[in-house]
Amino acid sequence: MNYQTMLAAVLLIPLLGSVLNGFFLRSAPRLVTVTVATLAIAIPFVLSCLLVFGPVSAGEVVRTDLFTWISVPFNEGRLEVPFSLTVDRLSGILLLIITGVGSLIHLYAGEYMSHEKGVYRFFAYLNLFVFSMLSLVLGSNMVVTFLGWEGVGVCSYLLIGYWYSDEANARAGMKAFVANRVGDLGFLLAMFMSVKLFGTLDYAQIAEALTNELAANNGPMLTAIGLCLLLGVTGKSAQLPLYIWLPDAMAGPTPVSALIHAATMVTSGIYLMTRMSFLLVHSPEAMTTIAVIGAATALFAATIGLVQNDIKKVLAYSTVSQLGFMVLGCGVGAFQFGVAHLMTHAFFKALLFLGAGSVIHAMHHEQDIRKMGGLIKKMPITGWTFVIGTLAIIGFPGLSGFFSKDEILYYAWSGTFGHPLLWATGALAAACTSFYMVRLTYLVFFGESRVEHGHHHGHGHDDHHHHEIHENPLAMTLPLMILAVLSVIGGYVSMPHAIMHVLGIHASENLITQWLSPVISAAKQTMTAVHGDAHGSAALEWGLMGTSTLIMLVMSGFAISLYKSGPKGGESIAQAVGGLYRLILDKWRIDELYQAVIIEPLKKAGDVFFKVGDRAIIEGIINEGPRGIYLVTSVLSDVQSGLVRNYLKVLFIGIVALCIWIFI
Amino acid sequence: MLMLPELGLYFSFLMFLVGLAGVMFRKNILFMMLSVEILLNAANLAFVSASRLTNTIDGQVVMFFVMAVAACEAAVGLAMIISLYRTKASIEADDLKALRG
Amino acid sequence: MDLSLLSFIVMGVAAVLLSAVMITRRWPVSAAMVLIGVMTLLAGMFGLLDAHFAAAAQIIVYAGAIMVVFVFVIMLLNLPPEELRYGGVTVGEMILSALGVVVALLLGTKVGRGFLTTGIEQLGLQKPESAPHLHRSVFAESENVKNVAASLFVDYLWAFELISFLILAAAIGAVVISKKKGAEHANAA
Repeated sequence: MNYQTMLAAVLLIPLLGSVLNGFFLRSAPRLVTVTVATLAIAIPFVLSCLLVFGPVSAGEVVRTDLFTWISVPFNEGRLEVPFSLTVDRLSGILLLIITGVGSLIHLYAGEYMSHEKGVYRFFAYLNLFVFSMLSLVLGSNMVVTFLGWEGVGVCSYLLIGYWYSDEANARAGMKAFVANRVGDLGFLLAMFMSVKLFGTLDYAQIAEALTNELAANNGPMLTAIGLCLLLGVTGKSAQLPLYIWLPDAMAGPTPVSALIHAATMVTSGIYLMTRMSFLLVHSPEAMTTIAVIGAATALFAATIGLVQNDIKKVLAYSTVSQLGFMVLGCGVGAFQFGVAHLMTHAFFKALLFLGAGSVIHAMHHEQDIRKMGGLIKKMPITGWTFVIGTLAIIGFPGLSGFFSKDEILYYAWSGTFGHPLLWATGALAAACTSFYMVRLTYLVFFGESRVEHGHHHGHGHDDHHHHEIHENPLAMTLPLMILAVLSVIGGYVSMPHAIMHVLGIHASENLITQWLSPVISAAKQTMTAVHGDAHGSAALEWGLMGTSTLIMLVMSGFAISLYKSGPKGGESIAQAVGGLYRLILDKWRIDELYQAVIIEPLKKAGDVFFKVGDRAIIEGIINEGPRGIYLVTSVLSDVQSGLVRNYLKVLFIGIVALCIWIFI
Repeated sequence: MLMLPELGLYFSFLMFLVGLAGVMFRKNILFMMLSVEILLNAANLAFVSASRLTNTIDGQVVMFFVMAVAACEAAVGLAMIISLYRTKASIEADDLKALRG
Repeated sequence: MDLSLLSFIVMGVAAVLLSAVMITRRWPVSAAMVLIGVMTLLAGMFGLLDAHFAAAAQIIVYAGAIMVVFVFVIMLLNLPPEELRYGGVTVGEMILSALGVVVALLLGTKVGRGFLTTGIEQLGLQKPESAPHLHRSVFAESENVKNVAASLFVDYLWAFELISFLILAAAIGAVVISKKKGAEHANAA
C-alpha cells in the first residue's frame, strides 16, 4: 500500500465504520458494534503512525487527489476544487491526536455506554465525527476543510442531543448548532474573499499567491479575511462571544465531551489559524484581535469555572479557558505553541473528562461535586490519573501543561504581537485555573465522603442503586492510564529555551518548533521582516516561569486550605463579595444578555413576519385567490346543469341572436 | 312571383322551428328523437330546395348523406334509449343529470 | 298560379302543421304515424322540386326503414302511461316559443321578395338564370337519378365509402349498447 492509498484509507475507514454501524449492524450485539467502531479508528491510527513517522517526519508532504469536486468557470479561467487530502507536519499532529485519543475514547465509551440501548447510533455518530474531523484537518483546500468543519458541527449536534428524549439535551444540541452556524458564516465569508483575492482555495496555492506585494496592496482585505476566520474560530473553538454553546454541550455523554468538546473538534479553530498563519500575520489588527479575544476568553471562562458545582461544567469552562490560551498563543504569533498546547490539552483534558466520566459512571450519573468526596480510596486508578491530569493542567513543573502554557505566556509578553497586559490576563486566568482545578480534584477525591445513598436516578439500571462505588473495568481505566502517561511527557516537545540551555540540549529550537517549521516558516519570515525579532530573553523567561509557578502553588494551596472541611469552605468569600459571586454563578448572565439582545428581538421580528407576511399576505393570497375562483366557478358550474334540454335552449337563444344580428 | 325553391326554403325553416320546439319542450327522450327526425327532414328539404335554386346536384347528394346519418342516429339513439330504460327505468330527459358540473 | 305551385304550398303547409301535430302527441305510436305522413308529404315536395331520386329515397329509406325501427323500439319499450305525460310548459319555454315566432315572422317578411335568394346571390352562388348552360340540363326529368349517381360515385366517392363505414359502426354500436347487462357479466365470468 503506498502512502497515497494509506491517506485515503485513513479518511474513509471511519466513514465505513459509521455506515456499517448506522445501517447494517443496527441489531448486532453491543460487542460487535463497539469492536467495529473502535477498529474503524484504531486502524487509521496505525496507518497515521506509518504516515507521520514515515514520509512526513522526513519532510515530505503526502497528497492524494480523490476526485474533482467543483470545477466552474471563474475569471476567464476555471476554479478547480479537487477533493484532495494532504498530510503535512501540522495535520500529522492533529491526525495522531484524533485517531489516537479517538481510539482510546472509543474503547472507553464501549464500557461507559454499556447500559444504554441501541448504542449503534452513538458509535455511528462518533465514527462519523472522526471522519468529519479528519477531512477537516486533511483537506488540501478550504472547501474540504469546510466540509469537515460543517460535519463536526452536525455530529456535535447529534451527539449532544444523543439522549434526545430529554428536552434540555435537545435544546443544548440546537444551541451548539446555531452558535456554530454563526461561526461557519465567518468561515464562508473568508472563503469567498480568498477566492476573490487569490482565485484559489488550496492552502499551498494561496501561500504561493500571497506575495508581500499583494499583501501590501490588499491590507484591509487580508484583515477582513483574518477577522472572518476569527469569527469561524470563535464559533468552533468556543471563544467569546460564541462560547455559550460549549458548557451546555456537556449534556451529551461524557466520552463525547472528552473527544469532541475537549480533544478534537474545539481545537479545529487553532488548526485553522495555524494553517492560515502565513495570511494572518500580514494583518496586525487581526492578530491583535485574536490575541485579545483569546486572553479575554481564558480569563472570563476561568472566573466562571471558579464557582461551578457540576463536575463536567467545571471542566467545560476549563476547556473554554484553555482554548483561550491556545488562541492567545496563535494571536501573539506563537502558532507552534498554540498547537503544542492543543496537543497537551488534548491529552490531559481528555484524561480529565474520562476521569470525570469514570466517576459519574461509578456514581450512577451523579455530577454534583458537593455530593462526592473521598473517592480516591474507592477508585484509585481514576483518582490518581485525575490528579495527574490536574497537575498537568495547572502547570505543575515538569508536567505537560507547564511547558506548553508557559511558552504561551512567555510569548504573550514577548512575542511579535505580545504585550505585558496579555501576559497579565493570561497569568490571572492561570491562577483561576489552579484554584478551580484543585478545588474540583480535592472535593471529588479527597476529604470526607459525602456520597448519599438511594438518591441516584440513573438511566434505567435501578439494580445498581445500593452497590458500593467501585473502580471501573479495564476498558475504562486503560485509556486513563495511557492518557496520564502522555499528559506527563507530552509537554517536553515544547521545552523552553532556558530549560534546554540548562539541560545542555544544544538545539536551536525546541522539538515542536522544529517539527512545525515547514508550516509556520512563512509566517515567521513575515513577522521577522515586518516587526523584527521577538524581544525576549532568558532572564524574562525564567522570571515569568517562576512567577506562574509561584501563582500556581499559592492558588492551589489556597484552594486546599479553603475546601479542607468540605464544599462549604468557599461560602465566607462568597458572602464577602455577595453580588459579584452571584453574577459569576450566573455565568456573568451572558446567556440572559443574548436572550434579551438577540433572541427576543428576533422572536418579535419573527412574530411580525409571521402575522403580517405569512398570515396576512401569503395565506391571504393563497386562501382568497381560490375562494374567488371557487365563487366564479360555482356560478359557471350551476350553468352546466346536466340537463340536455337546457343546453339546447341556450343554443336556441344563441341562434336567435345570430339570426337577428345577421338579418337586421 | 314566388318560386318553388324559395317556398321550400321557407317551409323548411318553419318545420325546423317546430322540430326545435319539440326537442326543447318534450321531456320524453323518444319524442325528442322523433323531433330530431323532423329537424333532419327540414334540413333535407332545405338542401333539395337549394339544389334546385342553384341548379346544381350537390344538394341532393348531401341530402343522401344526411339520410345515412339519420339512419345511424336512429339506430344508436334508440339502442341507447333501450339501455337507458333498462338501467334507469325512465326515459325522462330531466332525470339524466350525470353531466352536471 | 299553376298547379305545381299550388300543390307545393298545400303540401308544405300540411307538412308544417303535421309536424306540430306530431310533437304534441301523447302516444308515441300515433306520433310516429304522423311523422310518416310528414315524410310522405316531403317526398311529394321533393318530386315537385324535380329531385326524383330524393323523393324515392325519402319514401323507401326514411318512411320505410328508419320509421320502422322507431315503431319497433316504441313497441319494444311498451311504455306505461305515466311515462308519457307532457309535463308543464314553463314561462321560460313560452318566452322561447315567442322568440321563435318573432324570428319566423321576421324572416317571413324578408322572404316576401325572396330574401334568401338575394342572400344567396350575395354569397356568390349561381342563380339559375346566370348559368344557362346548367339550366335544365341536370334537371332534365329523365336525367336526375343519373346525375345524382354520377356525382355520388365520382365526386363524392370517398365520402360515400366513409358513410358506409359509419353505418357499419352504428350497427355494431347499436348491438353493443343495447346488449343486456346480465349477458355482459356472464361473458366476463
